Amino acid sequence: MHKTIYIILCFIMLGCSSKKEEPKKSAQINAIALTKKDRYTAGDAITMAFKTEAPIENFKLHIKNAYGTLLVAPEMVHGEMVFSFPTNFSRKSGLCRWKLINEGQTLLKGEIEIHPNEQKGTNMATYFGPRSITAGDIDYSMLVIAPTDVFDNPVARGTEVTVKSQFLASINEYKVATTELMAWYNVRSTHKSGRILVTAACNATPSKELTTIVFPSNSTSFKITAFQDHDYADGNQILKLRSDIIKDEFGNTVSDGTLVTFIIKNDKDAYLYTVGTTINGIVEGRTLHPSQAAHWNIQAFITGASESNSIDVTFRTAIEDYKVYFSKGNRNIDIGPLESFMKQLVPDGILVQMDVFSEHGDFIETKKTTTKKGVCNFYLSPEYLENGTYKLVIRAAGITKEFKKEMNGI
Amino acid sequence: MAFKLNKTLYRTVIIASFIAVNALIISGIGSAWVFLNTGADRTSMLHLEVPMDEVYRPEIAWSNVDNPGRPIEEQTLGEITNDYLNAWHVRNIAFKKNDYYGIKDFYTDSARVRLYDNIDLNLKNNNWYKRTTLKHNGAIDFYSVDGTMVVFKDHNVVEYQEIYTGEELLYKEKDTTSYHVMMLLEDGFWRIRHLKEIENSRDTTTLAARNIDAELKKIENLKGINYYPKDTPWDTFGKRFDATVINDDFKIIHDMGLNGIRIFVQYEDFGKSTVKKDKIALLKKVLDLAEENKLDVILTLFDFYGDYDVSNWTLTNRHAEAIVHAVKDHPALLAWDLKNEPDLDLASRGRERVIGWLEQMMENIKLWDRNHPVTIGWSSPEAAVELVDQVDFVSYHYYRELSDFNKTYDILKKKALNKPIMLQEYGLSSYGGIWNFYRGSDKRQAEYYAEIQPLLLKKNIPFVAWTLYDFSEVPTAVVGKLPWRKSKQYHFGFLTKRGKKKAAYEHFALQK
Repeated sequence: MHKTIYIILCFIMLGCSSKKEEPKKSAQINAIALTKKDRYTAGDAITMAFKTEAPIENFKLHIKNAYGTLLVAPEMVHGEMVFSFPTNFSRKSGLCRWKLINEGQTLLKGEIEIHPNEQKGTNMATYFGPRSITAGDIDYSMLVIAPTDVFDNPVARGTEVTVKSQFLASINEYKVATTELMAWYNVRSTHKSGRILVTAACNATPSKELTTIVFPSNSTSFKITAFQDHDYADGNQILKLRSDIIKDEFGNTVSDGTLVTFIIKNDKDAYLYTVGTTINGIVEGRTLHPSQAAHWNIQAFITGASESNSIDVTFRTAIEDYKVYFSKGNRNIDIGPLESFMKQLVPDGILVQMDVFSEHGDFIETKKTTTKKGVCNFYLSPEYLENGTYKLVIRAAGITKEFKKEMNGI
Repeated sequence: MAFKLNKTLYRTVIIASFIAVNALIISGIGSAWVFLNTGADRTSMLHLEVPMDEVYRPEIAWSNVDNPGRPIEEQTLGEITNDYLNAWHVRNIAFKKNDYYGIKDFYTDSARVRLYDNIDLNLKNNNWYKRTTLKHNGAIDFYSVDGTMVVFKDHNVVEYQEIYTGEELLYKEKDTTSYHVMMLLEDGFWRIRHLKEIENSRDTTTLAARNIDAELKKIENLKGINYYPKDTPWDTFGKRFDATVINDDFKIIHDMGLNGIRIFVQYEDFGKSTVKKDKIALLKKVLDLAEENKLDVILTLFDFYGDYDVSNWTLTNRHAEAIVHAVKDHPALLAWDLKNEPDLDLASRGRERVIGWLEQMMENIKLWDRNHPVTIGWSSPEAAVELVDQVDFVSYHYYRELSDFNKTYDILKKKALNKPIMLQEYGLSSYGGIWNFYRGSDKRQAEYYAEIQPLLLKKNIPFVAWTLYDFSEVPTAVVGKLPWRKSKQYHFGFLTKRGKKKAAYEHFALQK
């Protein structure tokens, strides 16, 4: 019985005992750095040698550069403890810190500086933008050159970079120096539109060709003229509005496709408009002649940039008069033929409008139609319009005719 | 009779089976219905942006944005900051898991190769890293006219890393490094093109000298109590926050002749890394009430937080920063208590991890608030020697036999480097029931205080007792579910749940 109690007690004691963390013994371990060199060129084989009495298995060299950290294990070479840096550390320029550690203790630490290896060659990375600018003195494109050595390290600060730029006949050359990992140069816009080519070279390695396009600047005021085949308001011919060559302040013809809006104000103070886009600096806008006599005042605008002179165009009336025939109990109304200025039939599509009023002048409805082969026709159906007396007002080509008719029968 | 019984039995069986079959059918239809209605949420068709969890929030400040290229827009600077920190984050994760995941989003073709090489080597050596950066100080060197390239320096980046081989922590270090960075805008991401380590710049910012003497003097004379409202223990700033109740309690504490309280700020309750404004307002309200009642407040941070993982350091830092900045000028604030009983986590979370977190947090809080002392509420006099060189005063808790009190205190005092020592929690539960063999009672509690109070006053030990009220509820998170632990926690008060004075009150209160 006693035995069992003892055993149980032992188990309880064991169960209750907790694991104590023992502080690590830090016996004095010494190491002496044998490598004194602390400046390297990228690509050099980097090794660090130390002398120590302690077994080397517990040593690690902790190395750290901008991209990461690594623990390097030592090798025994001629009685020295040697650590060799892997290439991704020995080829990266900048500071590289090292710490010799043993069992979590830092014994020695230091840093080495690795310089970019420009002797082996240079790679050029160029960034150019914006790729289109406007002519003048304000705009510019920026060329950023980030030369790197063969291991993709940015070259040393102050490395000279030659920038060349070509525009028309002139080729210019400039020298800039790398500052913050790169060099930069502002390619200023020219007064003439065209294409600027640039290139850069560093340590005799050229970059590719880069280009920016100088677009013409904003247009300046321009002139427009109107062309018409005759001045009759026949609703058929086309009025052409044409500009002279539109230019910017430096004499560059504006870019093709510049949108020009022609605003037309007629004698009833109503506005019409038409648009056109430039080709070779010239814009042409078109619009149909009116179908009744009119006086137009026309001006063209390039929104936000410039405007033209304003011109006047007058249209004579082409249709002098027309006839109206009533039939079928005055319900069928034939209008025409409408004849133009040479007694020819008017082109199809002249608008004819008829307003119907009651006997006492109350408005009932408006009917619209267009001419075909010079004539057109309205039929006032008895389903909609009861028998009775009506006032009819017919308008076509600016001529208004009024009738009072009694409708009856079919 | 037997026949009749049989008939009833049959009936019962038939009706019961009918009900059972119906129930089965209904539950079958129900689960089919549920199955057909589960799956992707319909809003997922819209491909709305999923809000990112806060995972990494180091401090970052841009000291200089003037540059010869082009003025940098606030929007762009924000995007660059985001992607730059993302680059650090994916790299930290990549080194932790030795996995390329995410690298290509934030590093250009030629830069990512270097990371891949490094990861491959670490994988070969069976090393992995827990890394984080705590602080960045950016200064723009150059921002190109077309807005697709930026060059900047990131000065004195505070980095912390732990190196593991397999499962074993091999080495940890905190260092400060500076970088020269070139980033390019590619496919809508700012990606790192060049990263070069450069010399650290000398930190020229002069910090105001710490001024904590007056507070330390107060601490030496502190006579206080750990405070939770009686209806909402461990949830002072919760939904049932009631300023009137707290004010009344503070009056009671003041009438007891005490001059201080210790209150707790819970990490999750306050919104983790993005501290909620309304919680801050409540905290300020409590401090206001304490001031009105002439009570000094020891504010314990990170209650119910127990992770300490390096990956979360930046998040806990933002949490503490927000709270410290919000109340550091409040006249009622006396001291910062970093964490309640962190020594209890040493075994489960790992000593290095907990101590590392405490050290950096202490450093930060001292930096953010130059005028209040910092302490850690260790759970025993033996644990209180941890970080004794870094705390401004030593705090410990004592719930053991009173007979050992003097001895343990004297041992601690020898190791405390002459810093003030506060008995930050102590007390005895008056619980007497089956879980402690009916040993506790109001009388025993009174005897306990009758014995310890004269001792503390005689030795001039500042004390904060546990606690004002008996509680009617104790969250499981406090002491776990075990009834013999939990039942004690209901009865530590000087006042009963109804506010009646228990016997111990007379022996504890200084003004009777």
